[in-house]
Amino acid sequence: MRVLVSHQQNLKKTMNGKLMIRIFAFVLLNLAGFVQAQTDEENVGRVSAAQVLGGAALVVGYQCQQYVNLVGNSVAKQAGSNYKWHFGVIKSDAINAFALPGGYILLSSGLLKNLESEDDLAFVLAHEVSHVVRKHHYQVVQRQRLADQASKELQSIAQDGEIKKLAQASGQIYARGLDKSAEFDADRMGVELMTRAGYDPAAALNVLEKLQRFKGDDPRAELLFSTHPGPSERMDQLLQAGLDKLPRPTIRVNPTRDIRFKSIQNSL
Amino acid sequence: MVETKRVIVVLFYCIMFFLMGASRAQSLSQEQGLFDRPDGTQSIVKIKAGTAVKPIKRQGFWTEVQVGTVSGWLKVSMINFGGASVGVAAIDTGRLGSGNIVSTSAVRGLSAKDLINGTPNFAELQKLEQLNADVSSVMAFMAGGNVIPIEQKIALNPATTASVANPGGTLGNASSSVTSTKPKKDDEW
Repeated sequence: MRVLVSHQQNLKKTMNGKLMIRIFAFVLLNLAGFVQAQTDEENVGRVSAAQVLGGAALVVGYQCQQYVNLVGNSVAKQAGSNYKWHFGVIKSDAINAFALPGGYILLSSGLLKNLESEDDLAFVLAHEVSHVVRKHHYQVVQRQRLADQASKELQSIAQDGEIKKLAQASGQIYARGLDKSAEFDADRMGVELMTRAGYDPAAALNVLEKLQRFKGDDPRAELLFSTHPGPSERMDQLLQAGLDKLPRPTIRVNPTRDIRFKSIQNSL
Repeated sequence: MVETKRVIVVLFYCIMFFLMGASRAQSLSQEQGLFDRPDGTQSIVKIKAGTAVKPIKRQGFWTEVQVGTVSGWLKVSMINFGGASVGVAAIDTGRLGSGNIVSTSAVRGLSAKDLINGTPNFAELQKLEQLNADVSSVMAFMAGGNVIPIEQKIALNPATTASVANPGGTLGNASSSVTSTKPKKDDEW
């Protein structure tokens, strides 16, 4: 009888052990899949960022770059994602910003010069962070990969030639822009992130009003307007979503915030 | 015959120009009384829905407007910014359809052409990857600028098909999604 009980216990232990191994293997496989997906997204982001940086290099100036990283991380923190964020200011008169998959955000010095406050900057960066978190560009790359599967293009970035293909494909995506719905989505989520972080949501209207002034023949904003819905339409969408019902952190301009923003702007 | 054709073409462009201008005009979304100041007293001067208003300056979610000879304040959400019908929006974006790249004139770097035909710069990418900010620096930075995170849930209304199709439609019906425990005035903390 004792032998039978002992045998049953051993069997139970073995089954438990097998179950544990299966669970462990399942978790490991999922984890591997997640890491692989994350790595692929990062790789696409790296190549895309390099492509944009091929058009305009980073601004030289640690303070300016550090400042944008601090504001960017303040809002990105609210998204609760696992990305390692890298924000950079690029030297260009163009009025534009780019969200690259994997957590890379680039902002033109032309746009930074034309903003009025840190809160304005927080909206711009939060909009781009939202594109990354929602994987808007990465999904377009994935769709393009599926479309090109037959010719095996864009399947791997292991070789130099394929890096070039991916870089050009990414360049096309940024030159063509996303669907309008993705832009409205990034506006909404961006406002939520900046408001949660403690910035004034009214700054979103400031930025869009400012962009409206570039509408027309200004070549600096030509790419921006060819890839984004009109600012007035974006304002309407935000107001319909209830932007003006959101709590505002403060009415008065915070002097420290204002001084540090102006100091960075003057350094450009 | 040629002359008539030319007149028709000119007339067509005039009408198109007028229609685009009209659709972008800023007008009142619904009948409103003007306010004497932001969040102030509503005057007896009523402005009908669709009336064109000229924004003078904005303060937070309020904007000072001129309507004919009268001026006063309105909430930004009371104004339709001319965001436009789908047709006009398509003109705004300049998008010609899937796969067609709109040509852009040369600004230093970052034109559509640069983005497509440029060469990736991995040396600059390495510099970008060195840029980041650790949690403690971010916290100190936020505290230094009096940027205080909000604990309550902040959520805007999700997009609806109707709102995308009719971006200039009825405004300001989204308060229920903001889960504030106590209703606040617009310029109140």
